[in-house]
This record gives sequence, C-alpha cells and structure tokens, in this order.
Amino acid sequence: MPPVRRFIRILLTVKPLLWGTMIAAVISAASVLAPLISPVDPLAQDLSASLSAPGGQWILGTDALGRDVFSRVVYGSRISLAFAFWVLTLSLLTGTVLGTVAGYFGGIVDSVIMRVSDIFLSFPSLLLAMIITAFTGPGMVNLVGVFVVVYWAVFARLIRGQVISIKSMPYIDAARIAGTGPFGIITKHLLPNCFSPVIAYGAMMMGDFIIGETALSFLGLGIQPPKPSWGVMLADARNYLFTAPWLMLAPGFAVLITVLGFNLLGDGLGYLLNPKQHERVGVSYGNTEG
Amino acid sequence: MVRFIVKRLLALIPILLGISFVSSMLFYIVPGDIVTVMLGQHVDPLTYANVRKALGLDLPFWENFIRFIQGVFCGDLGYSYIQQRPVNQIILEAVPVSVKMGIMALLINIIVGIPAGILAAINDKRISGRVLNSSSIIIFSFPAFIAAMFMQLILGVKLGWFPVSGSEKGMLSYVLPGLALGLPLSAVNARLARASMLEVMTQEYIISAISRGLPYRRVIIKHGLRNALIPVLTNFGMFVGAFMSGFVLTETVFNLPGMGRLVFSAINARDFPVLRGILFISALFAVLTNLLVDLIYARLDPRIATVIVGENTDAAG
Amino acid sequence: MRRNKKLILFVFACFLFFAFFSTGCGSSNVTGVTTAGGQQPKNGGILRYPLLDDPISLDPANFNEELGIEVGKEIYDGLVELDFDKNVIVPAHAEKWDIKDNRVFTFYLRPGTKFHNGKEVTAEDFRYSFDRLLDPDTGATVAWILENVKGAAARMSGKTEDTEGIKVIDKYTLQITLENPSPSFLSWLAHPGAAVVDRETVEKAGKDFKATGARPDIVVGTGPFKLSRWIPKNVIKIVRNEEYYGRKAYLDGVDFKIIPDTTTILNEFRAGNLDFIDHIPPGQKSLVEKEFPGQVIRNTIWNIEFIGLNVSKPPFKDNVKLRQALNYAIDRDGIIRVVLEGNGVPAKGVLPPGMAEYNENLRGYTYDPAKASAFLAEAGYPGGRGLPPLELAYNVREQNQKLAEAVQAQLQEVGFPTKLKGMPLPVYQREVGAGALSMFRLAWSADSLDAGCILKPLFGSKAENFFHYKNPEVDRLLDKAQSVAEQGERIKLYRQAEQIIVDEAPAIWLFHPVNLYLKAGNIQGVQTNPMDIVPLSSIWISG
Repeated sequence: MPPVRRFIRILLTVKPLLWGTMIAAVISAASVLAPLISPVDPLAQDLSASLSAPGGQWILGTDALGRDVFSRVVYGSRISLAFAFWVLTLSLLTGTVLGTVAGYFGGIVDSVIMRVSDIFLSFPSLLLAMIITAFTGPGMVNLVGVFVVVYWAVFARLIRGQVISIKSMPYIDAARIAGTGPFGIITKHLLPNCFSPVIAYGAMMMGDFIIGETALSFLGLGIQPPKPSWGVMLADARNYLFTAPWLMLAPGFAVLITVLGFNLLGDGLGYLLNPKQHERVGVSYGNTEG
Repeated sequence: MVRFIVKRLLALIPILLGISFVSSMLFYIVPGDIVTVMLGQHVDPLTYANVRKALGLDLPFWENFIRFIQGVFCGDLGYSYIQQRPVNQIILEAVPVSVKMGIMALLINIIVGIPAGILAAINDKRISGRVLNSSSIIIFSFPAFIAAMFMQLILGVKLGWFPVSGSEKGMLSYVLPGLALGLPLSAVNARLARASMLEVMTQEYIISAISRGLPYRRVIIKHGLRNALIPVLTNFGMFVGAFMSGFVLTETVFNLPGMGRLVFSAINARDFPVLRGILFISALFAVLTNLLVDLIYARLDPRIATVIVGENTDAAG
Repeated sequence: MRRNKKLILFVFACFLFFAFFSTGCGSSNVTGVTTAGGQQPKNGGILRYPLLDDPISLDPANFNEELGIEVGKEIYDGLVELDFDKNVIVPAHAEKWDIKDNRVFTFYLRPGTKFHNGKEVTAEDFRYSFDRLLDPDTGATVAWILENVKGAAARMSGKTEDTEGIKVIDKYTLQITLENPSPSFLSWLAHPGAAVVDRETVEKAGKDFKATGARPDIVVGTGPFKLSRWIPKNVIKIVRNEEYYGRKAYLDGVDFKIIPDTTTILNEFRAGNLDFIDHIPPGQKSLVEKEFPGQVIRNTIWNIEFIGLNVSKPPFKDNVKLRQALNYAIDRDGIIRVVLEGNGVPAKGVLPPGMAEYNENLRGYTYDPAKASAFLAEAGYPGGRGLPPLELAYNVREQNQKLAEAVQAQLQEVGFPTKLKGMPLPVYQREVGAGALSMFRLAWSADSLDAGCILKPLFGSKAENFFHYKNPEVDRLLDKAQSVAEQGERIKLYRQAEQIIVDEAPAIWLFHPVNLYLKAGNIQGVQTNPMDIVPLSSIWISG
C-alpha cells in the first residue's frame, strides 16, 4: 500500500489524530496565509470605530483602539504557533542533548544533569517563568528563552528514560561490538528509536506552551504589544466583558480550539506510535493553572 | 527502603543550597530599583541612600547569602524589605489560603475526575463513554483563568451563589476557585484513570474473574480501581507540590491572599527576601511530596518499589 | 463518526455557553439610587472601601505612596490642611501662623489636642516628628517635605544630631526656618507624611512601627479615626476617634478591604459588598455611568500626562521643529475618548485647569497631521526619512499600554516610526530617573497649591534630568516666582515660564486625567479634590 494511502487510512481509524491534524492544519494554514485572509492590517487603528460590534465591515468587531479583531486573531495564530514551535524545538533540542548524554554515559554526568533538572522540575513552571521574566523583561524572544529554561528538563528526563531502556537492547551491544563509537550509536541507533513517545508528548506540549504564553500575557509579562498575541488580546478583553464580549470570545475560542487541536494530535499520535501506553506522562504538573 | 529514603533526603541538600544560591543572586542581577519607585516624584540622593540603608538593601552578596544560610538553620528565612517583618510570618499567613484552595481543587478533582474516568472506561464502546472522554479533552484545553473569570461573573456576581472574591466566608469562598482549578485537572485525571482502567480490564485475572461468574461491577471496582489510582496519585503528588507556590492567576481573580499572589507582588516589588523564602520552601515541599508519593506508590504496587529504589528518582519524573 | 458529531456538538455548546452568558451580563440590577439632597448628616455605619494592596506601613515616614496616604490621612494629622474649595491652607493642629519672606514660619498650636493614647500634643512632639523624618536611620521616603529646612542636608547625611531650622519656642509655639524661600512649603506641611507622632510609642515600637500589619497600640496618631485592626492582605479597620479636636467623623468606622484587582473590586461593588470605589478598571468607565446613574463622581486631577523627549540626544537635540511636529501629530481628543473613555481634558500645556496658575490663553498645540508632516520635513526628516530607530518606553499598566499603542499609531501616521518598550515599574522608574530614555510616558501630579511643584522639578535646570531640558530664562522666572510673596505676581511669572516651556516642547503634552469615583446610593458627603484625596471623615451614610 502506498504510504499516502496508508497514512489516510490511519487517520481515519484514529479519530483524535484526524481531528487534531485537521485543526492543526487549518490553524497553520491561517497563520501562513494571514495576509491573504485578514481583511485589514491588524495594527491599523480607527479611533472613530472603537468597539464596533461584530457584523458588517468588521466580521468579529473591533477593539478599543478600533482595530479589526478578526485580523488580529488571524495574525495572532502566527505568534502563538511560532512561539510554541520555537519553544518546542529549542527545549527538545536542549533536552535531547542533555538527556542522551545523561542516559548514555551515566555516572557523575547523569547525576549532575538530573539534580539540576530536579531543581527546575521542583518549581511550577508558571512561577519559574514569572521570576525569569522579571530578570529578562518581557518580549517574544525573551519569552521563548524563559519557556525553554522552564521546559528543557521535562524533555531531558523523557529522553533519558528512553535512552536507558534502549541502551541495554541487544542490537546496541551488537553495534558496539561492530566498532561503532558512542556518537554513532547515539545518532544512528538510540535517537531514532526514542522519539516516538517524545513526538506525541511534544504535540501535547504545544498546547501547554500556548496556554502558558496566554497566562503570562494576562499578567502583563508576555508578548509585547502592539503585536496581536492572543494572550495580550485576552488580557485586554477582560475589562470589556460587559461592553464588548466579542473581544474575549474571539481569542478565547481561538486558544481553546488550537490547544484542543494539539491535544488531540498528541493523543492520536501517542495512540498510533505507542498503543499500549499512550497516555500523557505525568510531568506537566507545573502549568496547573494554564 | 530506609537507605533509599536517606539517600533521597541527602540529595535535598545540594538542591536547597543551589536554590538558596541562585535566589540570593537574584538580589543583585534582577534589574529594577524599588527605592526609586518608593520615592516617586521626589528622588533625592540623600533620601535615596538613607532609604536603601534603612531597608537593608546595601548588603554585599556573600554576607547576604551566608546570613540566609545561617538563618535557615535556625528556621528563619529572613526579613522582608518592603513589609519590614519576618518572611516566616508573611509566608505563614499565605500558606493556609493556598492549601485550602488546593484541597478544594483536589476534592473537586477526585469527585469529578475519577468517576468520570471509570465511567468512560466501562462504557468505552458506548456513546456515553465517548462523550465523557472527548469532553474531558475539551475541558482540559480550557485555560483555568478564563474559566475563573466566567465563574466569578456568573455564579458570583449574577447569581450570587458564592462569594465574588476574598476569603471571609470560610470554605464557601474557596468553592469557585476550587472549581476553576479543579475542573481542568479532573479532566487530566479522568483521562489517566480511564487509560489505566482500560488496561486493567484487558488483564487476564480480571477476565478470568468475570468468567468465573463474579459480578462485573464488583470486579472492576475492586481490582480496577486500585490500579487506576496509581497514575492519578502521581499526578496528585505533583499537584500538591504546586500548592506551595500557589496559583497566581486564580488567586488574582478571586482575591485570595495565597502564595501565588505573594510571589507576584514580591516580584513586582523586588522584595527578594520574600521571593527567596518562597522558592526555598516550595522546593523543599516539592521534593518531599515527590518522595512521599514514591513511597505510597511503592505500597500500592510492590513491583514498582524495586524500580524506584533501584533507579533512584526516575519514577518521580 | 458519531463520536465526531458529539465533539462538534460539544464545541458548539461551549461556544453557546460563552455567547449566552457574556451577552446576558449587560443588564445589572441597580440598587436604590436616591440622593439625599439637603438632608442632615447623621452618625453611624461602617464604610467599606477597597485598597489595591496593603500600605507598606502606617508610619508617616513611609507615606510617599498612595495606599499609605489613603489610610494614613485618616489616622494622622499635621499642622495644617488644604481647603480645595478656596485653594487655601487652613488650620489643623496649628491655630494660626506667621510667615516671613516665605522663609520663616512660626506656628501657634491649639492647646489641648490629644494623641489616640490620651497624651497632649505639644510643639516638642512636632519638633520630634519632623526631625525624625530627616534622621538618616528612619529612612523616610517623605523626607522631601522638609528637605528645604535649614540644616536638613546636614541632618540627613548624619552630620548633626538635630535639625537646625526646627525650633521649639514654647510649649505651643514652633518655628521652622528654610534654606531658600518656598511658597510650596506650607502646602507640603499638609501632606500626611508631615504628621505628628508620639515619641515614646515610636521609640518603644522600634522596627515594628515600619512593619506591614502593625498593631493598633503602635499606630498612634491624632486624626479623626484610629486604627483598630490590621490583618495584612485582608482588611484594615479604623474606628472614629471620639476625642478628636476638630469636627468628629460621622462614620463609626471604615473597613479598608484589600483587593488587588480593579475588576474584582468592581464586581464586589456590583454584588453590594463595597460602598465606595476610587479605581474603575479601564474599559468599564462608560459602562459604570450607565449602570449606576447618579452614583458616579467625576474629578479632574491636578496631573499632567505626557510623552517626554530626551533633548540631549538626537534626533530631539536642538530640533524644536521636530518636537513641535510630534505635538501636532497627536489626536488628543481621540485618545481621551478611546483610552480614557472620555475622562480627561486635552492638555495644551503643562499646568492643569483648576490651578490658580492655569492659563486659558496659552499657545498650545492642536491636532493637525498636515502641519505635523510639514514640520517634520522642516526639521530635516521629510516623511520620516533619516530618523534613527526610537523606542517609546512606558511602565506596564493596562492604560499606559493602550495609550502607548495609540500614540505609536498616530506618530506612525505622520511618518514618525517608533517601537514600544513596556517595562516593569521598578525598572522603568530607575531608567526614567537616570535620564536614559529617549521617549517616555510620564505623569506628574501637583503636591502643593503652588505651580512651582510641577514646573521646577520637571523643567528647572537643577531638576531630575528626565528630559535634560535647560533654559536659563525659565530658571530665572521660576527662581523669582519662589521668592515673590504676592500671588498675582507669582502667577504671572509661572505663566511666562510655562509658555516658554510649551513652545520649546521637550514633551508631547497629552492630557489631564479625570478620575471617576463610584459610590453606593446611600453614601453622602463625598468631597473630592484635585490631589485625588477623598477625606473620609466628612462621609455619612443615609437611611
């Protein structure tokens, strides 16, 4: 069976995967095509159209400064996705390097890396993020850094566990006897085999990152305006709940759907890649509020 | 087992030292100057120097760090810059609030999450099970602080069933925050419970017990529940760790003066002694609860005990 | 496929839930709005009043913050008070006073006034209280009140053990001599920080006096209320002082409830759990006026909000045209309508309306984008070409952020690009104070009845360097105004100085804010004033 057809078949059998993929695809498409989809510049202000209700010229209404909410939500997907993507990539990268080193070499290296990760894991992520943001100041780049610092340990532990369990497999020994060096073993044999649970978990974490950004923005520590981040929009909307509920509904719904999409995707991937033990590993306790 | 506990407790020392060191560093590296805020429109060099000195902001790093470590041995976490009173006292005022809130969230979590997970597992092939399962993932995707704001408006302001904010009405004040925090978490636990329940239900001993004619429900409840609780318990352990550092957003929305709000205001006011105290205490509690969870875990499932003891902290991850 | 349908249904149901409840919130039940016009004030009742946080302490030495003042002004009393109806200074502990050359002040105290603990207040108590503010060990944030007193600098740097300029003449007479003449000094003595404290109590309490949550037996003042309980992060309770020397308070007491979030405060008010609120969250101001008709009080504050421009650095250095161009680019009315929801007065210049020195005929700036573009070209940056990248800094608060976004968009409109830089308050305050920022949002409030308290610290050459603005003529006018005793002459000098400053535009003048207060229907006797201080002793509760 050709791989494309096989993939479609899998999609159809694993429902969460289907839904998750569809949602993620729609959101990603929206963010890529944002300039085409949004009717106006998300930053363009029209003070005379302040707080216009949805309908007519403004599909989802306007905010206090007379900016088009629909365009802002669409452009917001760029920020949220880019943010979550970079956090995932960088924390996965850091986590993979440190986790593999710890798991493969063991001993004192392992102990040091794991003790440090203990420290990071012993704090709820939001608290840690708040403290680091106080140091770095808010802003997109800083925020990505903060989240990487907060989440690398999660991935490091996950990878380390995988590496330890794969390390003792017979085919690794065989490779070693055949003369492959540690670097070769790690890159050729270990890593390719430990990613399946990580991929599923990573998809789920995307949702967590998006919520985390929202939460920090709500506290005024997130992405800097005038960038139309969903978190900034939600924080802004809080005081307009009575007068302009669409300000809360539009980004709130966007966050809900996006996070749902990534959770379903992670769920489905987990089921697909590791049907026996496909539930979320209980490491993400930090974002209890998110 | 005793060796394992001692080993884990010894591992606490470098962690706590590390936390103390890093959080003492914060005093010197975090940008911002609270004295200029306190002086506002009237910054004058003489006043500035006097206020700094009176608040105790002029200590050099090593003196600051060593004093803190000395204090910790006597159970003293230092003295707040801003509030000018012992950090212990400030933290002791905030902890009960966060703990009450956490207990309420846990109760809701247990009351809603576990039955929902078990029902979803038992009815796995039916619509009701699927609805339960898919609604749990939706609820889980719902940011808690947005839920908090809606609950406050609807159940507090509009309907008046619960206090809008504050902690004056006893446990009643904690219902809404507990709901806002507990519901998304119960979704997580429902999913965990469902998964392990499903796994248990395919085990041979369950199937054979049922085929021997024992009532289905009783078998499920008796054997299934016990196993289903293990991952849920791990999650609880993590959650308890979060008590100590509070729930910033929910506490802000419901005006509960717990640890979360304390952290937030300490950061904003650059009140580092308070911040350091909280970091210290919450790290201590997080590590201790993880240890406790591992121990309970080991009791529930002796097979895991060997893994934990052998692999040290892995299972806590 | 069934499950998927359920999922869609569920999502849809969530959406409906959202939609239904959020639109259903519009109508709120308004409780009995009756203004008791012409009724006699009556005693009794507890006023429930929100505070955004605990004051740092209830030590007057720390009353440089709004929270401390809000509570402290009810507990403590000083020599004089301000009467904003007539813009004059009226007696408190001092029955009368003589002033020589705006330099030597002699106060004659009212005999028989008492501390909350029953002790009589004497001139020596005032000498101690004032000297204590300058004592370096106190670390008083309000030391500025007295920094112009003779010998203050020596006392503050620890060179002397008392302050030369503060003298007790007899039991009820106190004399204060200043270093330089100051027309603001008497107003400053009305500041709650210049209150009288009881030496014995303060010295016995030591550090505890400065602590959050201090006990009532430590917080001993002379004001219309006394502290009865302080539970940090919860409530501060004060009760009527029956021994008060002036008109006693009508209220039995006030419960200051500590609620850190303005939206929560408003929700508590809606639920009937608060009687008076003085911070209405942005976004709900216009709503509140519809929701609680007749219960909203509007009060123009003596405050100027502006975007400061650093005139020591390019492109603003020596480029008046450019600075003026930016002033013409701002749609002040639009900003007031949208950001302040109509609660502000566009600023033509520096001084707020209501101040004696306010000049109706000041040449200011109006919204004129064409002129702005023309000026920008004249300044050497046609269409904004050649401008260095600039950051518009502000401290992160919701209203500031919206303001910054609006200003940024309007400057962009005429071709002046900026980037926004939000900073946490402690960082922002330090950067502004160091004069390091190029463009910064700042607000400045009057703290005395004399316009010098705004013009001098901002634009005098010995000022704080926010703008690095220096003009010898402005200095001369301001210095002269300080020593002139006759008010009409002083006003003329201040107006001349203001006109020069406005013409040279070291800032983009924005607006003078109007504060909204919201009171429950049965609350009477609210007196507002332009320093945003609401005295609680005149408030009473009807029916």
